[in-house]
Amino acid sequence: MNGLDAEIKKYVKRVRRRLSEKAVLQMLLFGMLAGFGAAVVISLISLFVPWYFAVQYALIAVAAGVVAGMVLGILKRPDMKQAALRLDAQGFQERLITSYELAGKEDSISIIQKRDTLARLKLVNIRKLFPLKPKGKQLAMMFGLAAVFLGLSFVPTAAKDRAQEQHAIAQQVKDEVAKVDDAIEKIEKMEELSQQEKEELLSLLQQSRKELSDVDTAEALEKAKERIAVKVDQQADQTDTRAARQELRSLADSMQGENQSASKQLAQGLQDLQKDLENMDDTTGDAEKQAIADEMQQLAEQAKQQADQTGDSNMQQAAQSMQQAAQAMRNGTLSQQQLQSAKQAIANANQSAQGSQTANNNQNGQNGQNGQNNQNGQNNQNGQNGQNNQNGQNGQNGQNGQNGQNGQNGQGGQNGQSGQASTGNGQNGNGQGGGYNTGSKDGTERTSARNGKMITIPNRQFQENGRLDGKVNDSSGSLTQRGGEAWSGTSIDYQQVIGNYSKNAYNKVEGSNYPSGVQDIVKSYFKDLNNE
Amino acid sequence: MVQNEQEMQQIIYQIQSCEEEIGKAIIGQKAIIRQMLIAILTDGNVLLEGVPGLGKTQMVKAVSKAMNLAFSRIQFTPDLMPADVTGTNLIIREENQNKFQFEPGPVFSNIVLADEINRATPKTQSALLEAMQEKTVTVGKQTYLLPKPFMVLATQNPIENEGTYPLPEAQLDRFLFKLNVRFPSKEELKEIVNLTVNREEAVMNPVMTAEDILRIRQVIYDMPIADAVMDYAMNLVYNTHPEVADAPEVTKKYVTNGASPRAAQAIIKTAKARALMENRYNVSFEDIQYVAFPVLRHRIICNFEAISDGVTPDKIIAQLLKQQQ
Repeated sequence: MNGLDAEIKKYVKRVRRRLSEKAVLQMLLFGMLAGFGAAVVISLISLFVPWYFAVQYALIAVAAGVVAGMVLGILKRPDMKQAALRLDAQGFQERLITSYELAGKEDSISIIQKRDTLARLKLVNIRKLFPLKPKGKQLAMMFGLAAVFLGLSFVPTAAKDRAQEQHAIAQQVKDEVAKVDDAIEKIEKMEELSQQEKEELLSLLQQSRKELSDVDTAEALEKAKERIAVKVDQQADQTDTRAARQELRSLADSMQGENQSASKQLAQGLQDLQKDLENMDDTTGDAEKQAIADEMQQLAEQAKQQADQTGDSNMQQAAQSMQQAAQAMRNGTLSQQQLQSAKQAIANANQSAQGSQTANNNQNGQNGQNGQNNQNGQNNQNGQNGQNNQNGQNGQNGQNGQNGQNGQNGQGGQNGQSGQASTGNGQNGNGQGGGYNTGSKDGTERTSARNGKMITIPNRQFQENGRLDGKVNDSSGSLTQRGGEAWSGTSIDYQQVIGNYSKNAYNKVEGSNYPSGVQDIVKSYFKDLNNE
Repeated sequence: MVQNEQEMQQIIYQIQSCEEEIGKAIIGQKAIIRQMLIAILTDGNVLLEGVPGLGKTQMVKAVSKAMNLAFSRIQFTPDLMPADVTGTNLIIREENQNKFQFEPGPVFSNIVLADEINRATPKTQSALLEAMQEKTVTVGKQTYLLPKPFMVLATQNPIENEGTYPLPEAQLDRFLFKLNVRFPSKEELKEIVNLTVNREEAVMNPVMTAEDILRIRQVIYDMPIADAVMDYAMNLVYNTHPEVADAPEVTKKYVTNGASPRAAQAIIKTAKARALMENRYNVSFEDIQYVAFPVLRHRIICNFEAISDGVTPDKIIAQLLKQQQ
C-alpha cells in the first residue's frame, strides 16, 4: 500500500469513527425518546389503574431504551465502505469510495484520481460535516417527555393509593405464606408424626396457604389470618405430638400477631403442658422429660411475670409449684405426689390465666372499642362460667378437671364440640349452655325431634326472610305420629330444617362483623348438627 | 495513456472547448450537444428525435466542424437503395480494360447524418446496421473499413407516421443514445433568428482532431468506477425487466421488454465520459442518473397500458431512479 492509499484509508477511518459516534448518539437519543415515551404511557396508565411498580417499570423502560439505543447504535456502525459512501454523499461524488477501492492500483489514472480525492478531502472538516449535536427538535421532545414523566410520577391519584395498599397486602400475604411454608417444611421433617397425622396437618396447612394466597384485601387477610389461627390452634389442641403442637401454636401465634395476649399464650402453654404431663409415662425418655421440664420452667417464669403484674396470689403460688416441679423433673426426683401437685398448680394457673384473659376481653367489650372483642368477652365469660361450674362440681377429680378444662375451651371454635362432649358425659350441660346461649335452646328442640322422629312447622309459617316462624315446644294443633308428636301442617325432614337453620346462621354470621374465629365456631356448630 | 494530471486537464479542456465551440452555432440545446459529444467520445451512434426545423442537421454539422471530422448527410427516402448508402462497384474502362472499381458511398465519413431514417425501407435501414455496429462496409465480396472515428447520427420525425418504416427494436438497440430534441425557449428562438437571419453565420474553429477523440476514448475506458456505482447501474438496468421476480411495480405494469445488456455497457461507458466532462476522474451516481434517460428510453418497450395511461419511458426511468435512491 502506497502513501496515497494509507492516507485515504486514514480519512475513511476518521469518517467511520465519527459516523459511529454519531450513530450511537443518535440511536441513544431515539432509545431515550422511546423509553420516555413508554414511561409516560406507563405513568398515564398508573393514574387510573393500580400499578405499584409503575415508576419502577417506567424507569426500566427508560433504561431499556438507553441500552437498546446504544446497542443498536453500535450495531449500526458503518463499515469502511459505507463510511466512504456517506462522505461521498456530502458532495464528494463517490470520489472517496472509488479511491478506497482503488487501493493498491498504481496506474496513472488511479493515482490521479486518488490525488484528486485527497486534495478535496484536505478541504473538508469532518467534524463540521458530521456534527454530533442532535437535532434540537428531538432533544426538545426527549426533555419534554422526561418532564411529563416526572410530573405524572408525582401526581397523587386514588389508583396510586390503591396500588400502595395492594402492594402492602401482597407483601403481608407473602410473609404469612412464608410462615406457613416454613411450618409445612418443619412438619414434613417431623419423624415422630405418623403418616396420617402428617397428612392431616399438611392438608390443613396447604389449605391455609391457599386461603392466604387468595386474599386481596386487608380485611380479607385479617379474617383469613384469624380463621387460620383458630383452625391451627384447634388442630394443635388435637395434636398429641409436642413438637408439632408447638409448631402449630407458633404459627397460630404469628397469625394472631399483636392480637394474641400474653395471658392467652400462657393459657395455651399451660394447656399444652397439661397434655404433655398427662401423656408422660414410664416410657417417656429423659430428653423428652427434660424438654417438658424446660417448658414448665419457661411457663412458670411467664406465670410469675403475669402474677407480678396482676398481683394474683394463686398464679404466684402456681408458678412456684411449677418451678419446683420443673427442677425436680430435671433432677429426676419428681415423685408422683409432686407430679399431681404440679398438675393441680398448672390447672390453677391456667384458670387464673384464662380469668385474666376474660377480664381483658370484657374490658374491651365494655369500653365499646371493639364490638368483636366485646362479643368474645361475653362468650369467654360464659365459657369461664361453665368451667368454673364444672370445676366446682367435680372438685378434686383430676380427670373431670380436665373436662372442665375442655369446657373452658368453649371460648374457641372447638367449644361447641367440647360442650357436646360434656353433654355426652352426662354433665348438667352448664358448660355447653354457658358457652352458647342458643345451644341449649336448640338442643331442646333437637331432642324433641329425635324422640318424635319428625319435626313439623305449625301452620307452616315463614317469615319474609325465610326463617321459620313458630314457637318452640308449641304443641297447639299438634298431631301424634309414629310414637312422636306431629303438628298440623306440612312435615319437613329433620335434615332439611337443620339445613335451613344452618343456612340462615351461615348467612347471618357471614354478613356480620363477628370475628372470623367466632364465625368459624358458629359454622362448626351447625356443621356438627348436620353430621349427627 | 495519460501520464499525469496535466494531460488529463488538457483533455478536459479540449472537451469543454469543443462544447463551447458548438454552442457558437447552436443556440440552446446544451444538453443535446453534451450528450452528442458523450456519444462521439464513447464510440456510439445517436438517434435524434424531433420535429423538423429544430436544427438537428445544423447541430451535426457544427459537431463535425468543431471536431474537424468528415461529415456526410444522407436524406432517407422510400426509394433510397442500400448502395446509395454504402457505395457500389462501378465498371470502369482503364487501359482498354473493363474492371470494377468500388465507389464509396456517403457512409464513408466520420460523421454520417442519416436524416429521417424512418422514411427509408428496412432494407436500406439495414445497410446502416453493419456500418453502425462493425464499423465496416461489405460490398460484394469485399469488406471495407470505415474511417475512425465513425458515428451515425440519425434523425426521425415523431409526428409523421404515414409512409414511414419505424426502426425495429434490434436496430434501435444499436443506437447508444436516443435524444429528444425539444423546441427552443422563446429567448433561444430569438437568438436563433438573430444568428441566422440578421447576422452572418458564426465562424467555427476546430478544437479537436480525430486522433484526440481516439485518445480521449482510451482515457474514458480507463476511468475507474466504484462497485457501489456499478451495482447501482446494474440494478437500474435489471429493474427495467418485468419478468424478474423483484421487478418494481412500475416495470411490471408498463414494460413489455426491458433494456438489453448493451444498455448496461452503454450506461457505464457514457457515465465515464460524463464524469470526465465534469472534471472528475471517477464515476458518480449522478453520472449514472444523467445518462440513464438517453440510454434507456429507446430500449424500454412499453405496453399498451403505458400508452393509454400516458406513461412514457422517461417517466418509468425517473420512477426507477427514484426508487433506487
